[in-house]
Amino acid sequence: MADETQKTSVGQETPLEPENDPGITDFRRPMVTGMAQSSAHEVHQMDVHAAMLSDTTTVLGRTVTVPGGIYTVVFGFLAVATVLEVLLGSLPSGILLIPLLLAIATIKAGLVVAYYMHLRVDSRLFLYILLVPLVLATLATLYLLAVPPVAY
Amino acid sequence: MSEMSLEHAAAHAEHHNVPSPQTISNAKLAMWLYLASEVVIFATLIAVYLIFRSNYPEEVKTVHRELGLVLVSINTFVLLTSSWAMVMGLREAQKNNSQGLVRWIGLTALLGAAFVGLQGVEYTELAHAGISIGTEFGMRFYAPTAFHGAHVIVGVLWALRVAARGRKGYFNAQNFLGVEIFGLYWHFVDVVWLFLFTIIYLI
Repeated sequence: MADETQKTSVGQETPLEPENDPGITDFRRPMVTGMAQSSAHEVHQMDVHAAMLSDTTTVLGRTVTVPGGIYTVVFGFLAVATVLEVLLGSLPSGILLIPLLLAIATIKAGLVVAYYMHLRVDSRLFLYILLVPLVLATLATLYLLAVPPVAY
Repeated sequence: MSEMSLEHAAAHAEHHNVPSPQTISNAKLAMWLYLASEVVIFATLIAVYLIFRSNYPEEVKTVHRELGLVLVSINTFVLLTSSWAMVMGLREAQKNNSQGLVRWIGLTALLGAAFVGLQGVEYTELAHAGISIGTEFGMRFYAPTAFHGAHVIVGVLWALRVAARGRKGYFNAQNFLGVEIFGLYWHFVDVVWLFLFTIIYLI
């Protein structure tokens, strides 16, 4: 619902009559178009936005009501995961500890990106923009880690 | 792409009963592209640290013993809380509550400033322990953490600007894109820290 009103406001700020087009690039105009989802999906998107403004949310099959709704629930998960990380980080290092800690960090980052940065409901294009450099950089880092340190 | 072609595409799509084109915000797209470039910069700095960590694990363990986890864990909580405050501020804007927006974004700025302050305390402790930027570990430690700290400082200034505009009633349920764009930046800085915290301090 909020997304709908936001689009309206953008439309009001930038009148898009073609007859007014001076023939030069106007960067205020939307330059990128993506394929819209089906109308049923659009209704679902509006429901998701309304859910983000509600104090009531569903967590692991349970209905929870807290001030801030889903945002506060996600914060709770992040806090618990951080405590877990610190406890694990205090342990003497074992073979499984590093992958485990990295997995927890990735889950935390995923929660922030999905819920706080709204990638769960926003355009898929943003997700691809984030993932392409992330995957390439991760692969490059893994390659560099695999190279023997002969130059040292 | 001109507006005419968009309209034609929409009409064409409707005629053939396929999904119509949907526009996305230019400002949001620009911010995501900027964040993608930041991913590469931070990844480079993290890669440099990881290679050092892989080749000299004992040296890193010595620093870990020196540093401890208390201060940096508190700082991580501070930044996580600031991310929550940020998104709560956006929620208030979407609910047409300017006062709530200013309160939450003000808290975001305050927590961001606290993070930078605590990082300063940590740097001072490290300097006393002889870990300067000139050491093998130091140059690989300070580059990503200080670069991240600089992002937090920029974020605090940006948050203050958003709060000031919110106070003037600039944002409401119809116009909250400015808050959302700042939020993307702030949460990204938070996400980067989640990885720095794990990679530099925990493993």
